[in-house]
Amino acid sequence: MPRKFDPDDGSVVLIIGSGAGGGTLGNELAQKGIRTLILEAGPRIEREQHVDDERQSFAQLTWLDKRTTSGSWRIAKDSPNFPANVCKVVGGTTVHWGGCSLRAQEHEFGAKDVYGDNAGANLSNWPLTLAELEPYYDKAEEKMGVTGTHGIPLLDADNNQIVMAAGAKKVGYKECSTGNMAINSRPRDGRPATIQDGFCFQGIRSNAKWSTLNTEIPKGEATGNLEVRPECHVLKIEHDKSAKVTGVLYADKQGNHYQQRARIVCVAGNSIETPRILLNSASNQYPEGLANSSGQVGRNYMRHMSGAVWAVFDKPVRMYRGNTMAGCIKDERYHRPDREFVGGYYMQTLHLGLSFLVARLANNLDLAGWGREYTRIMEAYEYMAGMWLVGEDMPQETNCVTLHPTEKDQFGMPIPNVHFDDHVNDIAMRNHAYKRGAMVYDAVGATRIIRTPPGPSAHNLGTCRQSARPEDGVCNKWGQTHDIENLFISDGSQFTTSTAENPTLTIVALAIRQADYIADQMAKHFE
Amino acid sequence: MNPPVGVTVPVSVVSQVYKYHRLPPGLVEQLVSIYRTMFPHSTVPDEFYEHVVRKLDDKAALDQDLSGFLSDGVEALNSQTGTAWTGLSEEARIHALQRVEQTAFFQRLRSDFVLYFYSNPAIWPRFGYEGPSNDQGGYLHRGFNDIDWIKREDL
Repeated sequence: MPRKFDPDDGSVVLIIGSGAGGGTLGNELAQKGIRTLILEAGPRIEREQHVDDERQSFAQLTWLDKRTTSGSWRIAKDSPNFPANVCKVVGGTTVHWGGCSLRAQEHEFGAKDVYGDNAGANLSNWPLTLAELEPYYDKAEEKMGVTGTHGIPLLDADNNQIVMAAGAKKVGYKECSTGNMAINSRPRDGRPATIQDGFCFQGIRSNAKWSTLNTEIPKGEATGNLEVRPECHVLKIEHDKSAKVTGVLYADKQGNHYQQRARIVCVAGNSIETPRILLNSASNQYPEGLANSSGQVGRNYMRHMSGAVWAVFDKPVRMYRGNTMAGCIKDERYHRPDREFVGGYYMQTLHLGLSFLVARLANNLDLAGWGREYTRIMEAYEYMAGMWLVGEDMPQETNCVTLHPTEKDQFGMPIPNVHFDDHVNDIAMRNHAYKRGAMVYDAVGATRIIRTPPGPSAHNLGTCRQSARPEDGVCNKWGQTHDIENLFISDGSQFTTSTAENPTLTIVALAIRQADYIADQMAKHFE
Repeated sequence: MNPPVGVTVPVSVVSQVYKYHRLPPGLVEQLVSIYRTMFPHSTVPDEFYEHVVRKLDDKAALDQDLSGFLSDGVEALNSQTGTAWTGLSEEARIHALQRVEQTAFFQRLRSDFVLYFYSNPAIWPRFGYEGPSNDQGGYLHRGFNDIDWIKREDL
C-alpha cells in the first residue's frame, strides 16, 4: 500500500519530481527499504485517461506555466513563452517520450580533452567514465526493457522507418535499425508488446512503453515505502545553519503553503525547474541560491542540436502508423576531427499527426508558412516521411536559466527565464545533419525536402552540472551537491555535457547509481 | 460526421443559421474568403473554413477587443487594394496578403487557422490521416508496415 508521511516526519528522503530521474530514484530507494516521498507539481493522470489526439493530449500533459526567453535562438521569436516541451504530471516527461534509449559514448565523458578549446564553450570533462556507468546502463536497460539489448528483440519497422532504412542503405550508412527502444517488442514485465499505435508522445495508453508512471511508481508504492504526492509545487528548499537542508516549502493547487521535513532532498524537476528551485531558495546564508558557490546553478543550459527533415514522395508512406521514433541511423554519432564540428548526431524517425505537422511546418526553412505551395505539402500528408536530428550541443556559461526579475507565477514564485544562443558548433552540425538527412530521402526518390528548425526543447540538460572540482559545477559524480551534503541533483540537470544521445537512459542509469550511493551514505553518515 | 466529399460551395455563401456572438456577417464572409486564399484546399468546402472563423468568434465573445481588431485588419487590407475584396483576382488577393504578411492581424489569422483547421477530426479523412488508433488495436493489423514501393531486399 502507498505510504502517507507526516509533514513533520524528518526521516524521509524527499524527491522533487517524478520523471525519469525522480520516479526511478523513488522506486530504487523504496526497494531498499528507505522511506521516500515524491512531491510532483502536476496531477496524476493514469494511462486509461490518456488521449489519442495531439492537441487534447498536449493540454492534458504539458507544463504550460509561463516562462520567458531571451537570446538569439529562434525560440525567442517563434514561441517566446514556451521554450521547453516537457510534462507536468506524475511520471514527468516519461509520459511523453519516444523511447529512444542510447548509451552515451566513451569520448563524450571526456569532452574537454577530446574536443579541445571550442571558442565560447564552457566544456568540462564528466567526473565519471563510461566504464563506471556501464553496470548501471545494464540495469537501466533491463529495467526499461530496451530493445536490442540483453537479448530483447528489436521492434518491427514501420512505414516511416522502412523509407529511412532504404535511403540509409543507398547512401552507404551501415548502422540503421529500429533502434534501442524502451517499448516492448514482446510482452515483458507485465506489460504487452507494442500495437504500433502511433501515439508514443501522447501518453502510454497501450502500456507497451516504459514510463515511471506505469513501472517505477506503482512498484515503489507496492513496497509500502513510497508516497507520491501530486499537485505539490515546491517553492523553496529550507536549510539550517549547519549547511544541511531540512525540508521544503510547497504550495498545493489552491495555493495553500505547507512545509515538509526531510533528511535528504533530491531535486529532479527537469533542467529549468531544478535550478529555478535552487535559485529561489536563496537565504541570508546562501544569497546566490542553494548549492551555488560556483555560480554555475542555472548555467550551461543545453538542449541538444536538433532539427527535422521532412520528405514528400510520389507514392504513399503513411508515416503516422507505427511507433513515433522507432528508427535510428547511428553512423554520424562519432566524433570525427575531419568534420567542421566536434561531437556527433543521430537521425531518428519522427512522425506527427496532421495537426502538429502543419504547426511544425508553419516555421520551416524552405517555403512560406501559408499559400498554395504550403497547402500542397499538407495535401501530400500521406506521402510524407520524417526524421528528427539530435546531437551534442556545446555548454556555454551564458546559456542560462534565471529567475525573472518581476514576473511571478500563480504561487508568487518568480517565473524562469531561459537565455540561449546557438554555438557556432551547433549550427555547423545542424547544417551537416540537414544535408545528410536530405540525402537519405533523395536516395529513395523524394520529390521535395522541407527542413524545420528546433522546436521547444524536449531535452533540457546541464543547468546543475557534475564536476570534479567544486568551482566548475554544482554536484559531484553522484549528483551530490558540492556545497550541501544532503542535497542531490537527480535529473538531466547534472549532465556535464549533453552527449549526442537522447538523455533518458543516462538519467535512469544515474538515478539507479545515485540510489546505491544514498543508501550507502545513509548507512555511514546520516543515521 | 464527415460532410459529403467533393461538394463545392460558392465563396460568398456562409451558413445563415449559425448565430455569431460578435462578428458581423460581412466580416465573417470576408474572413472565410481570406482564409481560402491563405490556405487554399480546393476540394474542401467553406464550412471547414467557417469552423475557424467561429472559433475566432468564440474568442471575440470573451475578448472585447478582438472583433474590432479583426474588422480593422480587414479594413486596412481593403483600403490598400482600392477595390472591393470580392472584385479582386486570386493573384491580386495573394499580393494584397503578402503586403500585410508581417502585421499582427495576418499573424493572428494564420496561427488560429493552423490551430483550428487541421485539428478538426472531421477534416482528417480528406488528408488521409486516420487519427486515434488505440481503441482499434493500434496500427499493428492496420498497415503499420504496408508500404509496397520499397523492396524489402533494399533494406
